[in-house]
Amino acid sequence: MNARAWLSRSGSGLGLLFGYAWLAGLVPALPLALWLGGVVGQWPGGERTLAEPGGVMLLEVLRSSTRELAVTARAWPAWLALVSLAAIVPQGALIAQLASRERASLLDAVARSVRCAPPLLAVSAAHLLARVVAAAVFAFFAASATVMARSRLGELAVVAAVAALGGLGACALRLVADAAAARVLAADRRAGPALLDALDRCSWRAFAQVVAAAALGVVTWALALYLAHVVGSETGAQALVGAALRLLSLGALVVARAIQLTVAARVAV
Amino acid sequence: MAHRRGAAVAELVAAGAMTALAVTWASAGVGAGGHAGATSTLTEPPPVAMPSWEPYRPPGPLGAALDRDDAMPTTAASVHRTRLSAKLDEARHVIVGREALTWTNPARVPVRELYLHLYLNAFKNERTAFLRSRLGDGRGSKMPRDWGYTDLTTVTLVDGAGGVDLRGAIARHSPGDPEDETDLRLELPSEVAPGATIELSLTFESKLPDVVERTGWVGGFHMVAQWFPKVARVRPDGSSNHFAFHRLSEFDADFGDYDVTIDVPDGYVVAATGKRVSERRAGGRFEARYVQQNVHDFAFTAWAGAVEARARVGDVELHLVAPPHHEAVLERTRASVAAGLACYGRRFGRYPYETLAVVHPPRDAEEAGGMEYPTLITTGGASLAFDAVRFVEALTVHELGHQWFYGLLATDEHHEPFLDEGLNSWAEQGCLREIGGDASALGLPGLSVSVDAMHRLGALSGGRDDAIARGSADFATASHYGRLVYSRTAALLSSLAGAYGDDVVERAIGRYARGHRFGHPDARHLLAALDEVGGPALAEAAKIGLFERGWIDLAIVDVGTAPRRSPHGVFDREGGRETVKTTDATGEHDAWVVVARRGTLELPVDIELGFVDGTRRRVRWSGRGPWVRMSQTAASPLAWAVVDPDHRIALDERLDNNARRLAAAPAPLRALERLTHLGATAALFALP
Repeated sequence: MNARAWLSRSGSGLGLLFGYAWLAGLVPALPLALWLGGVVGQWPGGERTLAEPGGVMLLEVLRSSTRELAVTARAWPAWLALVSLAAIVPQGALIAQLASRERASLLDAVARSVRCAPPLLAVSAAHLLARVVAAAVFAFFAASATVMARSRLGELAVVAAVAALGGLGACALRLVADAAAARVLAADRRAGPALLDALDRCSWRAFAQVVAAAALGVVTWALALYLAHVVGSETGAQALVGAALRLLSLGALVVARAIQLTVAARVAV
Repeated sequence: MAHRRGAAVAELVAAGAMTALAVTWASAGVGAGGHAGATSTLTEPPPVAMPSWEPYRPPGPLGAALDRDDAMPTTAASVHRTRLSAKLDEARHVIVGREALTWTNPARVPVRELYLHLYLNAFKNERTAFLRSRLGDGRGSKMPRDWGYTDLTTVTLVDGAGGVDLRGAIARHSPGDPEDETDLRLELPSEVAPGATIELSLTFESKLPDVVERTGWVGGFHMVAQWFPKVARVRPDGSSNHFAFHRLSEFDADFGDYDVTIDVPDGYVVAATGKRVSERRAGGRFEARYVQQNVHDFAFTAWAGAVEARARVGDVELHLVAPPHHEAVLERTRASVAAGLACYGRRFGRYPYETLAVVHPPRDAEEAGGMEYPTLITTGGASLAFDAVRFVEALTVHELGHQWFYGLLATDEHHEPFLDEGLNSWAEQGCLREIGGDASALGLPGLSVSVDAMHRLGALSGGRDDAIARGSADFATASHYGRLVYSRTAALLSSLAGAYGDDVVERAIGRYARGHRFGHPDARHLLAALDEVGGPALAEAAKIGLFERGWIDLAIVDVGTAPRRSPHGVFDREGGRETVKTTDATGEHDAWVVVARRGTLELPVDIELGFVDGTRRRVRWSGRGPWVRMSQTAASPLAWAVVDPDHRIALDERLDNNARRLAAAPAPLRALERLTHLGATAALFALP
């Protein structure tokens, strides 16, 4: 399937996922934006002031928003769990479009996703749990590993290896969960059999594709954010360009995510 | 005057002044929620002594010669020679000790009594002043699981006739505190004339607690500090600076010469104050002798299973000790010490000793870390020793700095803790900047945080709840002590340097450090040095900041810009009255800004204006009045104004009111930009 056909088949689902991620992101972003605006809004550099060397303004924002940040931080795990679980609908719709033999309308795809919500929720919860457990185990070993380093270079190597291993582990978990979701949607499987099917069907090739998509997404995301930082926000035009670049960075991530889902759908069907 | 103040505070503490200031009342049936018969106690701190200027001017200026090392003292007036032997019973965690003390009266008057500090008695039971003063947070807040104490077994005044037993002449408790035994009065059989010498012989057993604060044991690690009977410093007026050991307090002692023999099981790593002059192994034991002149304390570690490294930095031999697998941390520590020795040496006079021991305690003995003794420091942290987080560097450089601000400038840590912890916190910023630049605390791509900014955060989080210049036992909480003594002093001195010039404050404190090396300076000496180099305004600002809870908030309260036009209206001119109805633009623009200074600190500050055409102008304001109006004419409209654009006034309480934009992006666009910024980041987590 070429890019045009892929976009034509899944564009609406892609848009839904983008919209969902953006709206979900706005929930914690809105109060933070207000607090930030109160502190750095009148400085000539705007938000760029936060990144100035030495971090005086960054710490000033933290100091003046301690109470608000504490409330946000307390709400963060609940928000994270909620948006991860609620994401089964837009993500399921996109997978349904990608896994279907015929072109599926967004409405049909959403309907299918809603119908399969219970097993999709179970898969999503299992994925979340696996990520939390894996992160805890990984953090424990990572903390020990850095102490073992015998030189600065060695320490850097350990940190790089730890980051790479963590990223690869996350990709592997994600591929299995996505493929299981695709099995649920394409073959009406329940969560348990779908996960076992997914484990059977995943290949090294698919894993490599998922990793490549993640790397592409992260690099594009970082690049767009950096460009937005360079552009600045002193004038209206700069602010508009910056906003566009940041939305583009999110778009890059959503596209990367969609590529991963495509790989998973191929594996599953 | 400061001596008198110190003495007064010491006596107040000794006499239970905190309880004298306490109000106890029975709140029987007082309103809703009152419990009949309940007793409450209100404790208020004693007032902070306000220095009047003239009495705080010590005799004679320090002089410009002290901007260099040549003129600084090279040796201390040695008050005592202390020979110690310490045998570690590793199974009981006990030091069996013998002390031969030759003490010379440094006062101008005869002395009839000495005070002995037995600091380990702070950990004897939960009624000691130390453990009663556990204040809920920070280091030293936990109760020991294994008690610590010092038992004095003999105290003998050595004379030609075989000695006088003084066990009966020594008090059993700290003065005014029958529950504490850290500060004992020793009545001498006869007066000791000024300059006269006596010899005391003491034997003792010191039981180490499990590591609580600074000292103790964990497994095979023993941090042996404050372990022998120490004579309290005797002031020129003959009074002793003695005090019950409080949790937030550190120490004060006279300079002397130490000769210490340490006996430990063979295989233990030993690091100690001073230079190791001999060692021998016999009968499964290891014995090392350490000698050091011109110091006021002696500490050592005896540690089974540690790794050690030696290095030379200039004339100084480093002895680094750490847990296994900490080689990378040791290397970072070594590099930090090397940079710190050069930096502190250049700024405050060269390091005068031949050795420096650095002990990095094991993970479960963190409370022994982050401490200073003469020629020995303890560091810590770094189980996650990423380069980006410069905790190892910050802690190492801080403790190293105490070799100057505590070691060489032997200030009264109990009554004036800001003179060691505060000055050192300010000084460390400069040295850490040399190591890590703007990322002296944290350095990630696109994000750097300096130790200066961290101190500002601490200083302002503590607010102005209390004065900086309090005795350590008089702070409300450990958090107040930390924020005010460490961070607010650092931020105050940074602000003074920002206002009056880095070189001015550097030179003043450099002159103070060199001039009072091997001495016991107090606040008046510091203020006098600031006055001598920077003038009375600088010294006055320091005094307000230290003693009077000084504060400052700079704010732009009005700003505007308008095209300049020829005037119109009704004008009475020589030819008669003329009414000008239309005006012509001159092509220039007027700009104005009003800056307010709130608070009690008056500090010179920069005001910067930015114009639409990209030009900038900077003007210096003396900061004297409550506000200043600045008017400018420029070729372009004003775009923004900022007071203190370089964040030179670290104590400025709010930064959100320091800037005002006129020609910025419209508010809705700025809001959109911010929302996309944060929303795009938060959305990362929303992607399943």
